[in-house]
Amino acid sequence: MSFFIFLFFLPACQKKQKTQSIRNTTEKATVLIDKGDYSSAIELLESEMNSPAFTSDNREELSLVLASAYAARAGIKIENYWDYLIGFDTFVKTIESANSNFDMIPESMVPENLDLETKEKIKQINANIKNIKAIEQKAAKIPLISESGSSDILRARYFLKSTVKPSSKLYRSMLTAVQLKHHLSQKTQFLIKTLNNESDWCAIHISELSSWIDEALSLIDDGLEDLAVAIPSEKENYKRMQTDIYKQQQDLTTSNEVSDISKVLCYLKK
Amino acid sequence: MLSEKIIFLSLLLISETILGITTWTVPPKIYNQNTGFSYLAFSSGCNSLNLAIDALPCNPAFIAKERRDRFAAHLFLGNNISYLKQVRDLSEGTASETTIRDLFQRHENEELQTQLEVGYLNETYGWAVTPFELKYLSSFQNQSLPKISLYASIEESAKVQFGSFIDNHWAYGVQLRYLQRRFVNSEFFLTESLTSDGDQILQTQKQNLFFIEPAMMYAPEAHSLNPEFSLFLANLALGDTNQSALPVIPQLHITSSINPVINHGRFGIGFDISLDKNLDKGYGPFTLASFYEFGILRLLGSLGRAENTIGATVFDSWWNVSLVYKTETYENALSEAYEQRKSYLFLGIDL
Repeated sequence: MSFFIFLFFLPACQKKQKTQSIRNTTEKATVLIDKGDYSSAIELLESEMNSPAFTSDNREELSLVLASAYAARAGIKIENYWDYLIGFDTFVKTIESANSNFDMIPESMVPENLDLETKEKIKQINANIKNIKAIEQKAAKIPLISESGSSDILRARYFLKSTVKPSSKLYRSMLTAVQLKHHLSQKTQFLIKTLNNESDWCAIHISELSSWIDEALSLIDDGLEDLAVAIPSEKENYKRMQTDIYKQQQDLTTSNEVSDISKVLCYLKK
Repeated sequence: MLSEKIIFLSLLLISETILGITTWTVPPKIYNQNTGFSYLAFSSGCNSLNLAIDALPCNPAFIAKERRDRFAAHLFLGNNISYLKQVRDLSEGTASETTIRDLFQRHENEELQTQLEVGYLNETYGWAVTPFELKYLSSFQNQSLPKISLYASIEESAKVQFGSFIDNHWAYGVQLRYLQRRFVNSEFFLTESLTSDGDQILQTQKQNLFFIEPAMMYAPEAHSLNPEFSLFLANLALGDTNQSALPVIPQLHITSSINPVINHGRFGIGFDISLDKNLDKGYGPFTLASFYEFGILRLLGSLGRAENTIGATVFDSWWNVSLVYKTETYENALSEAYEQRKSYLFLGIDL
């Protein structure tokens, strides 16, 4: 009988040993992160992740530390994102409070004889740009990461995608906000110049602009998805916001269907 | 059959305890020894010195040498009172960016200890009561996703010492100590404390312990160096000794000291060898401790591989103030040593 008891507990003992080994690995990686040796920490954690005895229980902590190593390499320090963590849905609230007076294409510039459908699409573009500008303003406090940092954040978010704990999802949503900030910064300068008539309106490719807006909306949607897990009490709110975003994305798709809108914009400016 | 069921249940309980990863290994010196300023000033070396800075001597064998009546009240303040506020602000979400930056600048094993003690010491016995002793230890790692290790405890304790000379050279002493401790011991990521994952982080646990700590001393009479040799069995406990987070480990102290008569002032030097089952894991069992008194000034210090202290006490017939500066050596997960510097303030009244 004792032999059977031994056999029964053998897997539990092996699991315990594995848990201890993973704990040692995350502890070593954490020290390496503190020393600024991010690449060694990443290498150590990734090799542990590829180990055959890896279980889903262990995945959560390893993924979290690995994501933090990538984030650290991208220059993420928690004190710079503290405002986000304690008011983590800031960028979500922005969507509701978007109230910019700027119209990319002012109504006065739109010729009266333009067909109704195109007029509607121009309004839609104006609304989307307003939203994005408002989000960009709200994200002003989030420090901007470099191009290489952006690919590290992408990797960090990838490793956190399969996690299930609210705390992991909250961290992922913070990294999503960082990614969103980087994404917005790529085009907003160009847009601001355009709005100030410093740039050529004919250079604006609506399809490119639309996909840029679409990606920003996808990032927000992704962040909301994570926040719904992180803060279950707000889940309904986040779901409602996701529905709004989905609607905006649908509208964006429709506006792309107006093939000659770039030409219209160019014509309007001239 | 019944015994097999018991084995099964025991193994289940053990495996659950071990698989839980919300606790961290608190350095045993924080919880696993007698308390008081003497331990901070001399580390284990205080077991070798016949010097009653606290209400009672560290080593109960020395009570046999006591020749006066004394009532003492001591207030001991550890370092970093402001640090406690910073950690509280962080856990309540009211910390500023500057606070967080500051916490990470001194992130390893930051410590706070505060204690109030009253006691009475007589020729053959003494007692001391500590209505509260606050200990706080935390560690911050990974600035990208802070991992916080936290130990906080409130302890109440009472102890009695008695002892006497058996003949002209040999003496014994026994310390009976009761300790009640409420503590929090957890390790968590900052994001856990902001979500439902952190609901259990600050769960309080209790530990009740009763210690019986005997000691023997050999102090040859009429020797110019006044040597003292002792064996002291500390941390021999009954009660909740198997708390997985705070295991109580008995320690045997082998001590030796000399107190030569000098023309000016009083001088003592001693060393302690601490032996326990974790001997192979630490920095070695040896601690050298010394003091020198002259007038109203007492200089004190200790030397060990894991801890070095230096300090000074200014004392009068009924009051004393001490300041101690301490360097501690720890080892990180990569087996690299790093140092921590701490300072402590101690206020005492003797009547």
